[in-house]
Amino acid sequence: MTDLLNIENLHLEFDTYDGLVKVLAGVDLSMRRGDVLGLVGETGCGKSMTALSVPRLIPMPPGRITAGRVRFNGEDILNKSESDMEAFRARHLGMIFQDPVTNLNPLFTIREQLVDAVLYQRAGGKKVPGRWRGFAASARQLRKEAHERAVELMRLTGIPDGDKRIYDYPHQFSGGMRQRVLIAMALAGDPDLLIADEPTTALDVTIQAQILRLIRSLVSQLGLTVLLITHNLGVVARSCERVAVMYAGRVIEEAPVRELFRNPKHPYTRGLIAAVPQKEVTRGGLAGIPGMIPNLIDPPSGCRFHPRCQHTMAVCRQTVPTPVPVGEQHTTACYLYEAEG
Amino acid sequence: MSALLEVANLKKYFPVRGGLLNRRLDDFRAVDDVSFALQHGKTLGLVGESGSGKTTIGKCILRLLEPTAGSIRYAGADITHIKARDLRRLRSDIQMIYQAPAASLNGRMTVGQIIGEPLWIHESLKGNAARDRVLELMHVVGLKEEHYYRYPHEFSGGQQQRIGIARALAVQPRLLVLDEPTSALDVSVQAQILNLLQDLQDRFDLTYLFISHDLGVVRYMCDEVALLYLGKIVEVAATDVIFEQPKHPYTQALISAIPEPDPDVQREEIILTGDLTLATGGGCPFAPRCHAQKLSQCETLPPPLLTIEPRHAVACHLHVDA
Repeated sequence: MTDLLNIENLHLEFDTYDGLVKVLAGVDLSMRRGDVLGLVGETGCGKSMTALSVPRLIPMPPGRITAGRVRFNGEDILNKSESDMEAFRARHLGMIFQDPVTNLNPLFTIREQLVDAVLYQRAGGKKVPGRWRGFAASARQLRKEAHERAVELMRLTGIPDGDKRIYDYPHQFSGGMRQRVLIAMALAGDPDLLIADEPTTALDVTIQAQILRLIRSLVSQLGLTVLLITHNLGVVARSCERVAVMYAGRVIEEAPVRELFRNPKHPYTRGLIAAVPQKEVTRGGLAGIPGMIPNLIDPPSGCRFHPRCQHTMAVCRQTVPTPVPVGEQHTTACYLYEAEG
Repeated sequence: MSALLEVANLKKYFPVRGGLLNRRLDDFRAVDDVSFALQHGKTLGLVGESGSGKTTIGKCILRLLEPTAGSIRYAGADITHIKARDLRRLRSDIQMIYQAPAASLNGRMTVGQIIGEPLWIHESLKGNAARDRVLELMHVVGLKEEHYYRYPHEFSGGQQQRIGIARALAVQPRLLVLDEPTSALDVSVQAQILNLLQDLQDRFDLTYLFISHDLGVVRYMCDEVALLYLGKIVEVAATDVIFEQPKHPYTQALISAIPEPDPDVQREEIILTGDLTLATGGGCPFAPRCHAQKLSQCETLPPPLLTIEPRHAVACHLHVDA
């Protein structure tokens, strides 16, 4: 079986006033149909940029992909024309973002926005027929069907009284409900891949639990493939099957979720897990990672984690470690494990 | 032993205005009859979801907001209505640290000026004497000497929070109100700041009121925890009691919703329906979302906060007889 998504050696740079920021430096990532992959890392590690490279939503310029390939269903999507890309996004991708407030237009009802999403994805990214053309019987029929689909999507995402609430405006919905609307929008075209960029970060814990349960149930109901981006290791532990940990523009460890938490290999992954206050940790026992994330204008040579690592060797400063297998479906890019591999 | 801070029946209502002539139509009860005591040298966690009133309580204690009713006693003295002149002395005793480190630092001042300003205001320290104190404070919170002339935007979030902590410590406070001090930070940096706060507490004999929505952080930092729901305390107890034997259905749900970074944690997941909405009628504010067995009085009678064991109080009709 071929991979649904395959990102290979992706390099991304941003031109800024201060200099060239090397945001991604050789990201490798692949997903199969039905995978639920968590992409974890701290601020600025490139997790969102990796995900945005799939729908090609990175502003270019100032962004620039200097090397690498992104393939979806075997097709190279970095070479597509912009109009092909629009059709591709409409047919294959759904995205949800962190902030459910700014991603809904406050001037339109949920119905108008959801119906637009349905029509857009049905039309394969072509222009949606305007309301003034609704006089034609065919367009009316189209909108009627889209309305039914919108109500159906609201039911699917657990919004009570969808047939009435669809006429409400976004401000009449709570944060959790708005996030459900956005999920409904993302699902409008039966996407092959759902990219969820920090979908629960802006929500309270009880609402977060609701949304995570919804995503899990959609995965089992619809057989969705989900790329879940988060900084919260707890969210990953609850909802993903596989995890990729990123640090400073590279994937440094990848493993099935249980294996990663039970048996983390990379010093950064270990530090990250130890930094979360857990049940057994008593006062004074919390371990942080010394130092801070590197400046990507002038990133450290070799392994980008070496200035913060406790096991730095001479080789770490010189060359970039490549991922080596350290267990079943478990790889890490660290020279500590080179000998074993 | 008397408590350093005692809050009794604190209420803070915000007017809801509207209609013709912008009349006061109703009150939004941000904090509704909250009482707690904080012992010297301890850490009390105030936990709740957004809109539960936890920040409002913190601001009332600093008198940044005027309480509608109730009393706040600090070190035995009533500070609920003291005058502006005495307020200044009080504010060198009670300091606050905010959530958004970047927004709480003046971008046009250098680090030295930011940390030095309270020294000048409260102790009239200037020149070399002030500079020496500032450098000492910077050393205490883990900033380097060369940071003195830099501006806040040159620092990462964690470093900015260190600047905020140094500024709060400058006036040698005894009580710190920490309003979500680490929720804007990454986990590895959060761990550094939490450890720093614990060190400072031991070193300077500080008392913390720790406001947070993150139960994992609260479990790590606090001696006692008070859970808030729509402006009312629903449960208060020692930290291990709250986490091991939560009594209130809301506490139970909240604890079950903590995403533990361990895929093997098996536990009953309680998923609450709905969200934080104002309960209609005079019953328990949590009744519309409650997953526990409901009694007839839940919808009609507000449950009082009752002590069921020494140092463990719950506001729930299910735990009245216990």
